[in-house]
Amino acid sequence: MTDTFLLNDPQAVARLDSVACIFEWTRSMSAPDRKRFLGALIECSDDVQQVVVSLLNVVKDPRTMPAERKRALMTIADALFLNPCEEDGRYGQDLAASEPYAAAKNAPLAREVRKMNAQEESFAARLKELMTAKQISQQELSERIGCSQPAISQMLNRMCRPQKRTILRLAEALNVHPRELWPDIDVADMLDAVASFQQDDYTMTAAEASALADTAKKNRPKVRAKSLPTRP
Amino acid sequence: MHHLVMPRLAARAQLRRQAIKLRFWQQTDTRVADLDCIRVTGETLFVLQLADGYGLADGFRIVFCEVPNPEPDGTIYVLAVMRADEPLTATTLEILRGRERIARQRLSVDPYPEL
Repeated sequence: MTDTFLLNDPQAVARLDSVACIFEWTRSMSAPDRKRFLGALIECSDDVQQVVVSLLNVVKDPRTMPAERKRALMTIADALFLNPCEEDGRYGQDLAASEPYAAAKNAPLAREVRKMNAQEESFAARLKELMTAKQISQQELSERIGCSQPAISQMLNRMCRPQKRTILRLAEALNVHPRELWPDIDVADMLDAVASFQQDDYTMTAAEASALADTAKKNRPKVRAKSLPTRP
Repeated sequence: MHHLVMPRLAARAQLRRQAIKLRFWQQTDTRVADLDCIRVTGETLFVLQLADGYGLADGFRIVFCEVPNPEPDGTIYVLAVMRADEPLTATTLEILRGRERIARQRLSVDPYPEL
């Protein structure tokens, strides 16, 4: 009778399924880990517990891809073990505030931030100069490149770092070489080339293969080695 | 050329600068500054699309959701950054929905309760 009652109650069935899922998940854990996991789960709200159970099922599912499994596990960890942000004790990271905070702790990042600031400053100044020289209004330029006038204003006020595509469109609209707006644009091209080579299904063209072979020949490592004595 | 020595660090810093553009976002927008933005069909999730890949990918997707409080501006939660070529499978969407629910819950948790 109890079984029939339970099966007629979808919520009870769902809860039993959840318990079974959690039991199976924790079975292989050591006793202290199991205690920690269950303790953390019990402290969560019903809503978060439901998320954890659904993601445990995702992790167990053999059809789940490795990247998805990793993402699901990270989400479970985040749900169970709250890590308040060390900056302000809140949950999650404030994107705007996190850059200066991280840069203060990490010298290479600080260099990168300074470099980005310099790039954006130089870009905004060059864009302003070119717009003045060519007597183009923000509205007109925005229409030419297919974005909004506020976006142009944000770029001029250094509140919006342009994408490479935007720099190319702006250069075309202003009839200048992209390097005049963004001197490092070639670096972005090289990075794009590197990224395209990394694609799994990428097939090198004959010209690219030939260029790569030529470069490899020119850049052979110059290692001096003693020749081995001839065998008697 | 330290871009190539530490591409991830540089990419993360630049991605963060792109994600910050979300402060100009409104729910009905299909563009944020110079980025395309779409709503995932049938979801309360949105995707900001980056064409730049910074030597790591062919572009990126920033998946986010919005919660109405604190008023008047609300809060935007960035739930995931994915490579543009990574498919938004049913499983990925389930994980993102889970992250969204957790984010909404976390927002209701007051880290400074006045006891």
